[in-house]
Amino acid sequence: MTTTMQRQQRNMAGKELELTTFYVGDLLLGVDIHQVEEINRQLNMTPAPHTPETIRGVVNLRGEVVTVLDLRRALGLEPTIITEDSRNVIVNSRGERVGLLVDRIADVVIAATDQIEPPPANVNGIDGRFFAGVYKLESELVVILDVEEALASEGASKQTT
Amino acid sequence: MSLDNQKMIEEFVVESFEHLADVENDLLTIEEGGADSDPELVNKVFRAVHSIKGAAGFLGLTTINDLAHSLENVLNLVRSKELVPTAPVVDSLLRSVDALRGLLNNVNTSNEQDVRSFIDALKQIISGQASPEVSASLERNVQVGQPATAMFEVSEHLLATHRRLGHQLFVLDFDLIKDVEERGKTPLSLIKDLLALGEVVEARLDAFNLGDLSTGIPDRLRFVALIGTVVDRQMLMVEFGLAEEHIHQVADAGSASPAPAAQAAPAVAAQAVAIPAAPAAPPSSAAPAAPPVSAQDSSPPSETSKTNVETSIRVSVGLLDHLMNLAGELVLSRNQLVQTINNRETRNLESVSARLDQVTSELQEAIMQTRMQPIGTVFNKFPRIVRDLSGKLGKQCDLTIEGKDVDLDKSILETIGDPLTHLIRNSVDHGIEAPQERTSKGKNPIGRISLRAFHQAGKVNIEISDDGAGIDVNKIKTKAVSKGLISTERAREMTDREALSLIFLPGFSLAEKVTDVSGRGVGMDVVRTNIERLGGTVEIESRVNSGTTIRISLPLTLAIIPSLIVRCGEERFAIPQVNINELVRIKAGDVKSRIEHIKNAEVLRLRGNLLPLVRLSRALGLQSKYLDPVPSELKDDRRKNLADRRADEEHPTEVEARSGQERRQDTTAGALNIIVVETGQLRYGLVVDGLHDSEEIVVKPLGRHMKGVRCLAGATILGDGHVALILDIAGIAAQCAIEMPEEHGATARAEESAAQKAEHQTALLFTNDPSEQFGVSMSLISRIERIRAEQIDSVGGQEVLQYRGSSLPLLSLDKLIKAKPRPEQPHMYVIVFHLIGQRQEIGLIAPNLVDIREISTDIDVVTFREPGVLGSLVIDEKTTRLIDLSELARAAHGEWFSQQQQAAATDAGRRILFAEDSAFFRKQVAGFLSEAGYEVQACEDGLVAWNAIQQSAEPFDLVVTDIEMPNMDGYELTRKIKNDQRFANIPVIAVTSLAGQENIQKGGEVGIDEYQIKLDRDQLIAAVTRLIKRSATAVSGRNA
Repeated sequence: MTTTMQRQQRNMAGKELELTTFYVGDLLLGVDIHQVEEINRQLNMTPAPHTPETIRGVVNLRGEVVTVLDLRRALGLEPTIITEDSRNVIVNSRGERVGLLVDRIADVVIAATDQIEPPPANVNGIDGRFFAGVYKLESELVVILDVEEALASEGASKQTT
Repeated sequence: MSLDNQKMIEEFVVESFEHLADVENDLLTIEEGGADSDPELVNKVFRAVHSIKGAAGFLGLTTINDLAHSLENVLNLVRSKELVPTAPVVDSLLRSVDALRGLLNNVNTSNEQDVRSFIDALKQIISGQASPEVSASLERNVQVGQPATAMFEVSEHLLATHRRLGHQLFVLDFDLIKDVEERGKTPLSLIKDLLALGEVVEARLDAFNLGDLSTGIPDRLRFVALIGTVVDRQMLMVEFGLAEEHIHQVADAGSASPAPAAQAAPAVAAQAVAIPAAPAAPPSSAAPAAPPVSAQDSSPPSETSKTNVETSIRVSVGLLDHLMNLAGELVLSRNQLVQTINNRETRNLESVSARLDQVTSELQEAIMQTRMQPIGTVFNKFPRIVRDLSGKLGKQCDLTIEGKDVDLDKSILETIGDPLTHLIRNSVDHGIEAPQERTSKGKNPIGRISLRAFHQAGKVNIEISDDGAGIDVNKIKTKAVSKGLISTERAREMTDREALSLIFLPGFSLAEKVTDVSGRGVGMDVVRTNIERLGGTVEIESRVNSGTTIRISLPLTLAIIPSLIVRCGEERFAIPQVNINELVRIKAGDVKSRIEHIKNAEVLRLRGNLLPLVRLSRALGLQSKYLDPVPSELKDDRRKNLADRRADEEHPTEVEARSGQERRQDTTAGALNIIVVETGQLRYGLVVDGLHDSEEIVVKPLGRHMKGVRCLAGATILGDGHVALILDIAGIAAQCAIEMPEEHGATARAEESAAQKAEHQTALLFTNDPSEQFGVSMSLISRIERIRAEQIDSVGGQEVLQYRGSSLPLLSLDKLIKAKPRPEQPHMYVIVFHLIGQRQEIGLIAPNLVDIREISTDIDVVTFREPGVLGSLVIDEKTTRLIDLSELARAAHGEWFSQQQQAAATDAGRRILFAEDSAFFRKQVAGFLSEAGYEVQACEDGLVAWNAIQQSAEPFDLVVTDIEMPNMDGYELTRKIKNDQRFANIPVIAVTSLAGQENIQKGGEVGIDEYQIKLDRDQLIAAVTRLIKRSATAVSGRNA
């Protein structure tokens, strides 16, 4: 068996978690790769009135109108400033596609599930409820994002730190 | 249950519902036919039930089998003319069919359901109508056939029927492989042949001994059939090529052995006791015996339940083939495009893209077609509803349905059923009066309800009309006031049409008490909300004692709606066309005078009415921006009040000095773009920064994060790929808490302007050649369309417009009157109107629209008079000719009008006396009255009219009069007429712009029969027709 197949087997057996990782500020976040549909540069968002601050707008994703969330805002940070490195991470949540605006994309990380530790109550000033775990890489920490929690967030006003 | 079994059962249910689809209506037809019913129809119903019975038995669904069996027995008797399908019989059959549906809906628990009451009721019918031997023989089963090889169990009655028909019974033993396949025939053709020769009583395929694939293909596939036929054995041998030993003639029933049917015997005995003495006992004895459905019975499904098995849709194979072809074309286009781009062949790009565009449009249309279903599927349940409800309420109603084939999108069909049901029930309950009441009113005791569906102007229209009691507008007003829905003042000022739409207000109900039939007060507003949610509109029209008509208009499909794209700030938004009433543009100089403030809210005075204004930028919380042409960029509009000037604004007089072209284009210098929008009862003006095109857009749903935003109804993707949000007009109104402005002060002002309006007309001004201006009266216009020049086709010298699937004949001014030719330009307008009594619409090409204005009716009817031109006047220093649309149409299409004259034959020769001092109105009204077939004598004053009526040899049938006239006004004229014995019976209609309370009162005092506001042509004609008819019947009543 090849290494890819071995990996798939380990993955399916629950021994491994493949994560898409990206930066929000200095924080390296990871999301289960199965939840991520695509990553693109669709940053031409149409703003939507009367929506919470976390919502940046909507984009046209091949004919579908997809809501894009400002992940920084959702986590209670300052709003994202769009740069060349900014990306839109499209996740699948409850059967619907939603976009997460992030600062920079990083590598795919394979995490052994038995090495994933529970998240602290607070990471860099962000409430621990948004996180599902932490995984230690050689030089840094990948904080695993709880996507549903982030999507349900109403932004800085609701933060109690 | 195994998965396969479950699947089979599901298929069985779907098929059974198909069998039952027409059964209800067929039974109603059979009921109407009575003893003379079409035997084929009865057969059809019989076969449907028979199939269900057979399959149910096979699948072990015993309850369904038993119920179907009982139904079959009754139908069999009807078929053989031993039972007359009277109302109680059909009632019982219908109820049993309902129960059958109920069982099918819950098929997995059907065996536990109790349907004894239905079966007993059916049995009672049989025993009540048919002789005891017959009912007994129905219960007894016998075994017939070829002993030891092929035995069938059939009811004795069936054998007796065949015997009576002179049939012999044969068992035919086929080997499908040898006798069918090897001879190049098919099983279907075999069955058809059998059916052609006689009746197939039972048939069986012996498939159980075949084994599986591992044992190889069997060498014999046995199929046995029991048939009843007049044909003899020899013929059968020849026809089917069967050997003698494979045809077994069943000896007479006498030698058939009785089948061991255990439950049949005691049931028969019980029935024998219950039989009434005379077989001709009135069938009504059977009906009351049919017990009302008790709680634990499987109750018949309510009319509003949906089959939850039905998540599939039927699509014609032809359409699927078409789709496949288009998919193929799409692939080819895609390949072309990819190749073109790869090879950088930019020359080809245009044609490739054009092809792709076309294929995509065709594909889109074809896919939408798959969702279209005929509206008949919804209409089909109404005959039953009307019948049952009429019976229950003691009324007699006749329902006619037209347009069953009109197709509608499936999702619309699913939602339209409930509102339509409500409306039909209303007609029966509130509309149609009880038979005695109808007779005393001189009406046919049987009420007529008509349900009609038809296509018009790219929409599907549904009309429900009844000839019942109509809706009393005064009652509505009183009710609305008492419920606090409107003020007494508003009630007084309302037109009849506005009053009728009060019915759609939530909480409104005219019913004295709430019955379970209707009147819960949740009806009409829910109906309208549901219809509007589908993007449709609903209107109601009613006359006391004449009847009520409700008109629903629906878009052909939900997903694509026509809309107007507007700009607010830097973003574009879409407003659904169905919500748009009109567009108003206010020049900078006029803003201050037309925008007023009431209680801190900004309102616009629009033709005498106050319209609350909403700034879209405020509603959405966006920064408003205006387009500064020099340089062309968007700048922030920081005005606090709309009437304020912007900081960098020019002085208004300088604005006027710029060319007309620039003025039309600019959105700077304080000009306002207002869109008058409407939803339900609410009407307001939406101020936007700029207008873009009108477009048909595809509605895309918004994600869950956006669901809570009231102002938004969805989103769409524009041609350039950008997302435009679709505005929810009702949502914006709720967001801004719009109130209709209180009327205090406004009433006085409204009356003031009404008086000023006395001799004014609203006209649409337009130009053909830019130097020539024309005008058309607004009251005649149905709508205005903006089109591209290439949409105009010339067919046989006649210009027509292809617009949204229909063909509109066009009139070109310069071809019909003395006018310069129309300019070549890419976009134009078409003024659409229709002539009285004609449903045919006609369009007048109007290249450029100028304005809608109040114009004086003091026109010059001499200088420019020609067929099609009423006269002229000067507007804005330009000579403007007023077009007479009907004369124009007559000049172009004389052949249409002969039909019209025939149509008016019933009222032919009716004479109308018409008094009106304004030459303009006199021509107009006299014109269309005579077009409608009446003989009109027009007088320019009341005194002239009074003299005319006295001197006239022949009497007049009706008088139409203006109020304000120099020598003798309308009141005086009416008073004289009504006080004179010779003329007192002539109805008088007053056509006036004065309709305040005092005027109406005065009119009532002198005897005016009806008031019509200047100038609603259709209403006037309707009133004339009505009053003439009424006085005619009164006259005949007196003379009788």
